Amino acid sequence: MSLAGPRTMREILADLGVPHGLVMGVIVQGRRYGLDYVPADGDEVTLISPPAGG
Amino acid sequence: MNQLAAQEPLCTGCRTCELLCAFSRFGEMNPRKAALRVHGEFPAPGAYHLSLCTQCGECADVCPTEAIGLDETRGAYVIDPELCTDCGVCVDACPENVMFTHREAATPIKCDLCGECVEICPRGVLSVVDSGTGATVVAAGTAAAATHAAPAGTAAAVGAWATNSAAGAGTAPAGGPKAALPGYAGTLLRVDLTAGTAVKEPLPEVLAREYLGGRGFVAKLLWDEVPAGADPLGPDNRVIMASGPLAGAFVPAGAKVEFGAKSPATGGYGDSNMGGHLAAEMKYAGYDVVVFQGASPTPVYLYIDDGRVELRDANKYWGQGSFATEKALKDDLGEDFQIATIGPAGENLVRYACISHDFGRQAGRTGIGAVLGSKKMKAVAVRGSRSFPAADPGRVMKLGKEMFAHCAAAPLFKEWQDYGTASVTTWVNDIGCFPTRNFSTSYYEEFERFSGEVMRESIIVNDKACYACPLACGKYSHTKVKTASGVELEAHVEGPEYETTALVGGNCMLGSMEEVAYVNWVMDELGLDTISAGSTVAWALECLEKGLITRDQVEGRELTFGDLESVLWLCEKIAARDGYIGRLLADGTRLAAAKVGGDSLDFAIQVKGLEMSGYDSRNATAMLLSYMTADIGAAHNRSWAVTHDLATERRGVEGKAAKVVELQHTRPMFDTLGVCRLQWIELGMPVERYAEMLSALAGVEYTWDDLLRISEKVFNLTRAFNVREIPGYGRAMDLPPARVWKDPVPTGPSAGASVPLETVHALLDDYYRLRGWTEDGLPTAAKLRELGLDDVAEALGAG
Repeated sequence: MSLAGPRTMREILADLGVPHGLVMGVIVQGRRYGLDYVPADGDEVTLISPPAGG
Repeated sequence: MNQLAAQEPLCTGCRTCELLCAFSRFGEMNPRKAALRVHGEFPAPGAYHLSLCTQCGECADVCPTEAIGLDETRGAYVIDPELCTDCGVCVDACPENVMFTHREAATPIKCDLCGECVEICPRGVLSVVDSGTGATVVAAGTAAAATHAAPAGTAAAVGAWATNSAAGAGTAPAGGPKAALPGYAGTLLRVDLTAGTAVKEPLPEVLAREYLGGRGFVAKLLWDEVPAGADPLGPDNRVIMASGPLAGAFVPAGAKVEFGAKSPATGGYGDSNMGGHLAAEMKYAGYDVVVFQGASPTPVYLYIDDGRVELRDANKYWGQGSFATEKALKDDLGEDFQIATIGPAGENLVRYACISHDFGRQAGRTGIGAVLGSKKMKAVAVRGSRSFPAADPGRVMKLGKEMFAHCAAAPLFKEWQDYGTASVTTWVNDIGCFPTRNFSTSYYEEFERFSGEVMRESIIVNDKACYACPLACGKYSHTKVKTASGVELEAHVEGPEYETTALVGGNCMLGSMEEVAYVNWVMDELGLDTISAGSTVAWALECLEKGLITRDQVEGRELTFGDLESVLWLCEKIAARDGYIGRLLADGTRLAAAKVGGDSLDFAIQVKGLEMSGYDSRNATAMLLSYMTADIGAAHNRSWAVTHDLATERRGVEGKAAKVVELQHTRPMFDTLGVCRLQWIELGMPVERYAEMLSALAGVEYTWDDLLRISEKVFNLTRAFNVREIPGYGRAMDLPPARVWKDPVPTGPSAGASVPLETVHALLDDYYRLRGWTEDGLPTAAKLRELGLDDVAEALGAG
């Protein structure tokens, strides 16, 4: 997707209408980040969904 | 010359390599026919070691018939079955002890470097290297077309690749032994502890076809065999230990064994399952289900070594902790026995005593450990070397490889490998559902101390897998703590799982991950369910704060939230049923509140007598309804609906019951099949794959919808069991603790949230209507007959 400028994942998800809480964090290049992560150009971002109970 | 090599620190002990090695050679699911072995070193230091063939050639040097020769193409020594006389000289000479014998194999079993184990290993532990240079020849996941690969999904094809094995000739027929029930071991073992007998009965085909296994077997056998009104802690109760058709099969995490009994915690239907390696070992020993009935006058344990079954004296183990008993039994019997034990809490009939296995796996819920304790059954030790049949082993192989590949390619695979269930802790707090201070609030200010990242950095020493599980969500830890009075303590423990972190960490307000892990170990060793024990301790601490329990009643001690010594002292008292407070709390919060009085029942966080697991649901009504209607009490195992709440109106009613019913049929099906659900729910494995795998194993075509219908039948049967066993059973038994509507959440993201009693009833109205039950929540005759439960309808006199 294209962004007008730097945005946190929290902001991007809000723009997409994803309810708060349905994403725990993100993985970029094998590393885990919180929703304050600001994607760089070309990043492939994996959303971490909440585990469904132990 | 090439050889297998291992990076042992990466090994999680899943033994998928053993399973596939044997399956690819013989077309049989039987790791005792593998050409390599995984060994665990537990409880300390918590590491795995592998026995691998180095292709040293000493076997060839000593072979008197020159049956072992070098295959130049593969760089491996292989056995010519035409020349081998099975004299065993090579086995004795092997310096690595990696030439194995099996009574069904015509020759010793030896690694021929086929590469299947390298390809399947989920952690990249194994590789094929050049013996001289150490250079990697075949790396993990990149094995060339394996020698034994089945070209097509047929049993005939399996026979073809078995003949290429060193031990292929003269072994069991393609597809393993024949039996009336493919996918099953075919035997029900009935252990009468009063008579001191163990009798093998054919597994009834109708039971397998209509109830499948695991939870289905438990529900049906309890309904049929436990006399109405039986004392849960009396000899008339039964304990059912059931594997499932996918347990031990070539499928990710076919590792679940289900225990069931009439629950001493609730007085109704009780079950609990655990992973580890027991379910598979049962199948390999030849048993799908074990029924324990009666009661022994003295402590015993059940010894199973294939067809040899004995009740043995357990006096020397009685009184010992769960891990101590497991270690002692392995020392006495052999490392390859799989052990399940109870701890002192089970012996002393604590109503939420658990069953432990594999140095860290527990069937925790509903107090089945106490039922075993009432029967003086200290432990079960199982070793198996048999194969169980698959209707279409070629199809099983193809499906199994696809399912393992799906797991390895899942985007969240590594996340789960790194953190397991601990990855959820911070998130649950962020959404205002983290049980804190006996569920008085749902947000823990100091939550960062319990995050998965902190846990990974501070205490985890290894990842630990259940049988054939690529995830290895188990985290094996080493913890060191110092109490307020300066006592230094340390332990090795599997965990903590999220639920333990929630109920012991947040709910008792402990100060660090190290403290949670230490309490986790103490509860495990004592044989206490960490969920119910954490909740009961927190309830007692709140009662002390409110003066409902006095300081005299706790022997003059000052017990407080957040104090490690307070929690440890209460655990010891509970497990021993020692003193007033030990006896009071050993019965769980509902019965304890009836004795303590005041408003203490309002904040006894339980439903039906079973304490709630780790989600404060005052701001999540589908999760609340899940707790209210789970057949065993307030457990998340039937339905976990928090994300549905987040995606909808969090405290709404519309659509919540439908989601809960859907989940209550879906999630327990995994416990019925004997396979872990995490590969579905966390890694996105399509549910249809499980129906396909069952079809391939059993030779009966099932769709996932077929399985859901069985799940609905079982859910109605367990409800009927509760109606039969609990006087006055109905809507009142589905109500949550009054804290849900009386005490709004005071802090955090859910501040102000509560669920009014009228909303609680509206949720139940919807739920009962969707279930086809009466307004009081009783299964109707029409619904029971629709599900084929005519006898149940008649027994209940349902209208």
